[in-house]
Amino acid sequence: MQREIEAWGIPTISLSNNPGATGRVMPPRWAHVRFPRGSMLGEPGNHDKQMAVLRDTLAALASIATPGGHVELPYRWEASPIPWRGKSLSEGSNS
Amino acid sequence: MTARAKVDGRWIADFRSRYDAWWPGAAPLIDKHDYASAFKTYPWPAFTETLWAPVTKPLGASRIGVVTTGGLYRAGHDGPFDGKAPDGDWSFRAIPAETPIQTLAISHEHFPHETAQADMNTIFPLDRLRELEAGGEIGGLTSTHYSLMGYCTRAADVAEAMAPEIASRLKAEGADAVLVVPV
Repeated sequence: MQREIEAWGIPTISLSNNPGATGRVMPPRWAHVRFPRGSMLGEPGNHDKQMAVLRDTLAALASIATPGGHVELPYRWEASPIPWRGKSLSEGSNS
Repeated sequence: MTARAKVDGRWIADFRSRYDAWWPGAAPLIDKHDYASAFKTYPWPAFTETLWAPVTKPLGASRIGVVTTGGLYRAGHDGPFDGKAPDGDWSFRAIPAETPIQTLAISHEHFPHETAQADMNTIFPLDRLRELEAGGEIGGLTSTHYSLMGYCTRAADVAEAMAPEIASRLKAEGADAVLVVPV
């Protein structure tokens, strides 16, 4: 998806909590977050963190200078783990 | 679906033949929800290059479009995705920018919904983007945003049918940059 949009001349950036999966699709730019699966901009209701993630990610549109480049976002998961298919998803859990 | 893909599709024939070899063995594992075993041998597309459109406008003058893979749809306007299909769903839903995002429904069987149901901004941050627009940090939002259901094993159909249609619409709607939120 991201590749096709770039081919139409529109720069893109994606969020990723799963660098292995992201690497396979060779996106032009991406921002690494450590939030668990299903929670790409942080905890529900955490307005300030959502704004920070968005600001950093959109700023990286311009700051990433080479194809495939990414930025590491520093934000932590500050809520309880999320139950999922018999497992518990915490910071960094992406499957 | 009318738009044709602009991205190089030379990987597609190779993918389709490897996919057809993979699917008969994978389908019974997917039926048992043993995704780890099924996708251990998935024929990942063999991309060889990174596409790159340069940024030409400052963010404060850029119109932003959003694509989420969270399987969001407008209940009452559009139907749900086929969340239970073993090979996924490669359709998409257009979501007008003025849609109150907390009214969106989720049809996606492959991520926990608790966070998004409590606050859709965690996977489709239109409210936060409107705040950035109000503060002049971005130029604005496109009139429409797009939702797809991120579980789809048929990468060739995504590349040939869904992706070009969404990309062409974003282009027509004047998107200067697009935020992609894979869920």
